[in-house]
Amino acid sequence: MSVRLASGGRLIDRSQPRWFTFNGKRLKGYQGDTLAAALLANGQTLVGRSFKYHRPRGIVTAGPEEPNALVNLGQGDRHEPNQRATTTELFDGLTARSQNHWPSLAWDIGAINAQLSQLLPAGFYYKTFIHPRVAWKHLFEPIIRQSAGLGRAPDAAARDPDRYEHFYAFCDVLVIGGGIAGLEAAISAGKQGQRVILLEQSAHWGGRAPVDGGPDPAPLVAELRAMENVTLRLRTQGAGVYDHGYVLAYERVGDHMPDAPGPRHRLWRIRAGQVIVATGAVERPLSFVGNDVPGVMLASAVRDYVVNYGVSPADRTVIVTNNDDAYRTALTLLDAGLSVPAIIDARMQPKGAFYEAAVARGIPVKAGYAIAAVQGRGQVKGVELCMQAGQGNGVLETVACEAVAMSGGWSPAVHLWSHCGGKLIWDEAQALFRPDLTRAPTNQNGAPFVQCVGWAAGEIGQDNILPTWIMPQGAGPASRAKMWLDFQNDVKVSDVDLAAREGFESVEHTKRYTTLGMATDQGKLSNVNGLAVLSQALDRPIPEVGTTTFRPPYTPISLGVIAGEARTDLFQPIRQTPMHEWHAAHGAEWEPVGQWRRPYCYKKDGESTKDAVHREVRATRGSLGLLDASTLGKLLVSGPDAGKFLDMLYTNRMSTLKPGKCRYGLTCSENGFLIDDGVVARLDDQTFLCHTTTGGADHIHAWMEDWLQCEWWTWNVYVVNLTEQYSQIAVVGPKARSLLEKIGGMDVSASALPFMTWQEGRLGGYDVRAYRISFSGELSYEIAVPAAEALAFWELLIDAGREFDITPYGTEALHIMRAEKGFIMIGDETDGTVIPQDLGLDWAISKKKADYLGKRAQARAYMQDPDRWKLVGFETLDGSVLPDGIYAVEEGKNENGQAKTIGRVTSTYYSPTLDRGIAMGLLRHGPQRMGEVVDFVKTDQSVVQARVVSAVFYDPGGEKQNV
Amino acid sequence: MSKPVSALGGVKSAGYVNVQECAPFGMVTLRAKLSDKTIAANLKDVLGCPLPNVRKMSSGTYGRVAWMSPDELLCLSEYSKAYQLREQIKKGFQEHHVVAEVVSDARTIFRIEGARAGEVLTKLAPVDVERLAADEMRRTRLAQVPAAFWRIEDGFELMCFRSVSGYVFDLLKTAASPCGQVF
Repeated sequence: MSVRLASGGRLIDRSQPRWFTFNGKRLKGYQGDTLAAALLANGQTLVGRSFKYHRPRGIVTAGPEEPNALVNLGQGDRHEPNQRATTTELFDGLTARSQNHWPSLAWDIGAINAQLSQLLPAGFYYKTFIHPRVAWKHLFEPIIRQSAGLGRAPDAAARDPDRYEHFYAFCDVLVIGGGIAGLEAAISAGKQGQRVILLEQSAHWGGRAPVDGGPDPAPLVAELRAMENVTLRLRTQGAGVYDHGYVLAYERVGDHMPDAPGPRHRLWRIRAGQVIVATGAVERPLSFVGNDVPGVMLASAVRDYVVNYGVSPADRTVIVTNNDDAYRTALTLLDAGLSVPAIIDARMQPKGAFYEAAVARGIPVKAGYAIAAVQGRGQVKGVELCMQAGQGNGVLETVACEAVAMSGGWSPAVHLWSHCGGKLIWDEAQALFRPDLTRAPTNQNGAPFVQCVGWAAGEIGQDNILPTWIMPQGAGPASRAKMWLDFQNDVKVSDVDLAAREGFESVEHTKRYTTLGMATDQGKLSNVNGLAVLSQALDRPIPEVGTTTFRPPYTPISLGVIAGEARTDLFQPIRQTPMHEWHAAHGAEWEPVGQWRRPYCYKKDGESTKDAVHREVRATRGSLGLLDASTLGKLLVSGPDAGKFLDMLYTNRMSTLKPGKCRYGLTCSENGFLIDDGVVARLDDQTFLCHTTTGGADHIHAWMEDWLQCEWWTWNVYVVNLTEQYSQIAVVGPKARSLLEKIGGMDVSASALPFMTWQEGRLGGYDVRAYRISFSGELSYEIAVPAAEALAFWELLIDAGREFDITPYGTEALHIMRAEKGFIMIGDETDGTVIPQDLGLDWAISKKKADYLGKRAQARAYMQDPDRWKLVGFETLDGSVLPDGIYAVEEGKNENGQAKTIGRVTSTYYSPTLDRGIAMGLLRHGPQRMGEVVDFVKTDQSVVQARVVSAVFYDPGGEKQNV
Repeated sequence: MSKPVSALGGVKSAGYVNVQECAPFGMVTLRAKLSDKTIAANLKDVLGCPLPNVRKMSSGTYGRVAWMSPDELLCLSEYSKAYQLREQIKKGFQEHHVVAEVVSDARTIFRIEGARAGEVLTKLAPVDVERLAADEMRRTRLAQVPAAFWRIEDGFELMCFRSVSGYVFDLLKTAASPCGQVF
């Protein structure tokens, strides 16, 4: 049983108790504890179950490499699965629940999987879930889904109550790791006057030094704090290193005080000139039978718990090692008054200061020995010993103990070095992969930008290690099936052996086949041991087998911190016109158009959306409607070559347009496809104002700049995007002129301001530009006013228009009215495959111009094909509304046995004006088939018949708009 | 003409840094080939300031003139003077291919004030604010939208497009909300 010691614990404050619950049980820890330390202090050595076999799992480490002690942390909106107890700082009211068991941690039904382990070998999934095919959907997938995942997912209704943010930082030197090596590197860079940032993932400086008798970090930290050019940051992990010195760091601002205001996590987005990796090293487990039983821990973790938290993992701890470092643990335990019944050292002749100190203090050292098996299931009860050189047949000795402290040597934490391409070499003497400092990641200039220092650089000094990949070295298959490599994913030595036997030679393939290193700890403990076992199975040297790829982040970071501020109202920018609030206050139902929100319709109390739309259409056609058209793009094109430029941009000729006049134009891509349309007004000899669609404004602006900057850079033309400078309000309907005459100002009569002209003047006391253009088929003026005055002008129109029953209308009424007139809409009638000729817009395409964008493409044989589908109108015989996108078919089947499609609907509405369904669509030989009836097939296979008619349903002569 | 209103009516928030929407500025976009020496010389006559260097601002008769790109300047003025400024530019550059347009209403300006104003901006914009010169205008992005900012006495002024004023204000308010200090 683990327990709190009577004294000691350099990081805890015993005057500050902290109460928490584990599986509903109320427990006490201290300020400064990690959750793992507090659990051990309360005797809780069993903390979870493994993924596949549901084996009992205890705490193995004291740091971020922990594979086992993962808990469901928090409740309700703050519930998070898979949180590492070893890095979770304890606070009052913390609630944790263990994972992956049912009905209880101590008695788990899933543990039956362990009895079936022979049926669940590596590659089990790939071999089992193949036949019969139907079983996948109804049997295999439901079972896998049920058993997948360790922790419990948050409730679907839960909403993260916390705030997250990003922070951009810049420095000459970024030091990652606040141990002694990192502190010294930061001091050195700081003294040279460099701008330095130093990050440490834990809450304390000094790394392993305070536990392992290294230098005191306090004076170093004090020296750094005195430097103005140095930024120090605790609880901030260097999570990923990317190209061009870009580094992501993950700061856990509020995890240890969850109810404090302020952000919970902060993502540092750092641009660093040089990155110094001082991330230390990770201790490796040893592979022996039962090395996953709770109570088996890393040797370094055992002394961490004793020194840092005053926690004893057990009264009697057996040390098992292949190197000197683990002897520190033995001495620490003795210093704490605990018992070390034996040190099992795989080496035949251990020597050196630590060995001598251990012997001097009377600890039995079993040189050349190995652990044949751990006794106990849910808790270590003892170890059976054998010789490392043998097969483990016949137990030589049994030692009673409650914990095993193992050390297979240390591996430098090379992850950050490797993220951006730093190479590794195998250090034979120390039995570890270390950074090859001659092959560092390179920056934009081809120069190295990452360095490693200290243990991360491989300067560990474990030359006296005996590489020990399994214990004993000659263990047979039965034993190898009980030696764990990956504790979380239940990958054993036998699984890697099997993969090798089945032909997996690449370490990357073996990883995926066995799932070694694919758990949430990403193989921090299992990687080197696993590939060493693979190299033995393949009879190839370790460096030839190599490592798997190290990918960021170093440990999982929260999804919230990646999103930063971009959630709820800030999820994405919403563009608003100056009348937005007015619309909202008058019942607007919103439609997203690009990033804008436009009113779809304005609903009156108790009115349905449909009724509101129809009311708006009738009111506009009957008297007077008002539309906020501010979102339309307004691009000013000016210069001596502006006419020439627009002749290339539009399919028709704009250079002949007279100042004061407007002309509708089409814009095509180089491939001839219609991409935008709008009215162009000529402002003066050299200046045009081009209106674009709402969604096309930024794109067409960029398109114009692209051609001017990259192709026609000698042409004297400038483009200014005035989309937001002016609001545009459409005054539409038979009473439009009456309203403008009522508010008074410029002459808006048919003779002074005829159809397709514009004039500047004053209306109702406002400086405006009025365009006589119509997208509804009614008498219509589009009035541009500066955005800062737009709301006032809109309200003036609303007030003055009451006597005409003025009705603001939304985008759906706009769509219906344009469809009644047969006007096309970019994005409805076009989809990137449609050319203007398909839409019967030949009248807007100049035959005389030598060139325009899209002209050559439109001359291709495929574009000229008479079989292309062309725009027509459809009227259903029964008056119903055709479904959007429905296909027209003809008799027979095609070569694939499918119905033969001959056309499709592109726009379809109920027309309140005509009281029937109307539709536009593309039909093969459409214009030649006027009056014919075609069949449309619904998704339920029923047929709707419709007559082919002109797409202009309303006022075909155009008399209403031209009055 | 009615009284011009800013997009958010002068909204403000008090966090650990104060954010306030300013009264509208006058702004004229000037497009011209800035590498043309006669343009630079004319600029001195018309606006009373030298051509600003790349990313810098100079101060003229109407107000500051900011470099936007190799062929674009932004001329700031009082709101009521913008049209007058445009006419002056048009008159002064009759011999050149120059385009000047008033864009005052297309923009919103926020003032971000306080000792930690730069820190708040650095939560949203990838800018090394520490090294932003006093006469520099930094065109950048603020989270997901374009923006530009420059130093003032006790902080920064930031410019964005009018349609996203609400988004930008909420961004700044959130980044400046109490207890969010980085340092």
